[in-house]
Amino acid sequence: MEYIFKAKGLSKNYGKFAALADVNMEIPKGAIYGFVGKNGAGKTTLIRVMTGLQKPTQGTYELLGKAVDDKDISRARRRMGAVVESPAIYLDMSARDNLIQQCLMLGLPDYDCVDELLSMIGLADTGKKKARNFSLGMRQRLGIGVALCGNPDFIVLDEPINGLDPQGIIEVRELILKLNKEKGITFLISSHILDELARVATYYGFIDKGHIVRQMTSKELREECRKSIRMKVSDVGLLTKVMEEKRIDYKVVDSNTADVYAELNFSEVAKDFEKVGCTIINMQERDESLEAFYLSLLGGNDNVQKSVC
Amino acid sequence: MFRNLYADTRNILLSRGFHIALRVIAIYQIFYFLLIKIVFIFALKQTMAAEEVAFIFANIAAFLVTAATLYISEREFSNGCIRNKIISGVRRTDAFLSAVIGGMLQGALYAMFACVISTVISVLFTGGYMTFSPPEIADYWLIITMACMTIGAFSTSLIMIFGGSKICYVIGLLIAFVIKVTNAFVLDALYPTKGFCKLTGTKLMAYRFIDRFIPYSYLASEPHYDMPSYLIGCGGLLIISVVIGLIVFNKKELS
Repeated sequence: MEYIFKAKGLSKNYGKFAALADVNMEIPKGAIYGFVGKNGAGKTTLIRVMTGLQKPTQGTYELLGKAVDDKDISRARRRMGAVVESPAIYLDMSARDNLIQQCLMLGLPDYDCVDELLSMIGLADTGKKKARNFSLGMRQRLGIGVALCGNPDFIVLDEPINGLDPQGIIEVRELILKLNKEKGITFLISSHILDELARVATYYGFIDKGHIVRQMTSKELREECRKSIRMKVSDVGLLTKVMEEKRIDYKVVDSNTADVYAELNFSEVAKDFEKVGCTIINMQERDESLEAFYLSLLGGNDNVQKSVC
Repeated sequence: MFRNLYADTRNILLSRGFHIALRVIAIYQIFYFLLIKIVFIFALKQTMAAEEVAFIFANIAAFLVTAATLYISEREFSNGCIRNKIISGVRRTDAFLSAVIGGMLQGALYAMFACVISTVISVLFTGGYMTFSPPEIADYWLIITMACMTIGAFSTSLIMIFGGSKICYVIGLLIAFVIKVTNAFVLDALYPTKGFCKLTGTKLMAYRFIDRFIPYSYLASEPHYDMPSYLIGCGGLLIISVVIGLIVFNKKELS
């Protein structure tokens, strides 16, 4: 698999505080990578290190095939766009002027892309209106437009839908999906709005206290969050026997517990279990959202119970 | 480097801070002229010489150039545009040099604009220059322009060194204010209106140094040194700003 970004043993300390500790992370090409973590977990620090705003204390990373200490890393960065914390826009300029400014800075030979970008981000009809007078959503979209100048291969969006109204959220989401599908742009999206992230992400990375706790595909996450019945039984071996016979999908959790992925007829199941001598101790229906999974992974188990349906 | 410089120049010319600074220069010169004109017409009943109003820009130049360059550069930081440059692959050295050159350009443009306004006022509404010859007028404007360019560069490098912190407004304007006040003492001690200069030894050297080699001082009085002194003063502050700024900015952790 080809990776856009690969970090190996990346650490970042601020004095004695370790904001990142031995981070190993891969972002596959063409993915929409949902980057999830609590406030202060290290998301923005990792983004700052990745984008070259800060230097790692230890470890190394590769961006678009160039190592961090490679002389050509700045050339690789030109194939990358980012909106870190707030959109980088000149408030005294119109949307068009902002995009031209970025084209100039990147040394693009012409501004042909500007009109296309303005339509894409829905700001084609703003005319000479200064960015200062834009709404938060318009500024956010303009920030994404600036990041899109020069057809980047990789875009980093730090909290892209913060402060957006529902319409703005839908527009940004559709824009991300469109760019990923049509242009194959890889995205790294850091967001607290997990349900929204779940609608676009194809990969996930969970970070806590500076450590990458887990990386997984959306398929693996769906598997984790699949609707199931968690059964606690006297002997999980007997349970598997019944499930195999009935051709029901299941996953063993421990020696007494298994998750069963099917609509069950309880009286029928109870009879089957009785036949093989297996006693059902407890049954609980589970339907984990990304939010619940996140809480169970990064702590806050009390909340998990509430979130599990 | 050059494409970044081009983009920065465009940003300066389109920014609100730049246009406000130009308006302030024009309004200040016009109002000052009107005030002096009224004094000459009604109180002194004389024809006003161009010298009375020609170089009044120098009174506010240090503050205006400092404030305008700090405002425009600080906005670049607070809007995330410096951050965006680094993310987009602009080398830190290029970003820094481009910003400093932008600061110099601003200083030069403000001085030139003031020169144009001053020339128009002098030619149309005064009795002409009585004591200055054309080369002296040109020299004076050249020295004002050089000082403004240096102050612009110094202020911009302050912003880059402090990472866009608002503290730069305090530092930059405080330096301009302190030197302005110091200059009054220095000029008074070096060139007393009555009697001779009584300074000796280290004190004399220090006062001379401020008067001769600190570009802020060039805006406080008429030119009275040779051109190499002014070039050394402006060049010195520029080199110090660039060298220290580059070292700090290249190591700086941007947020």
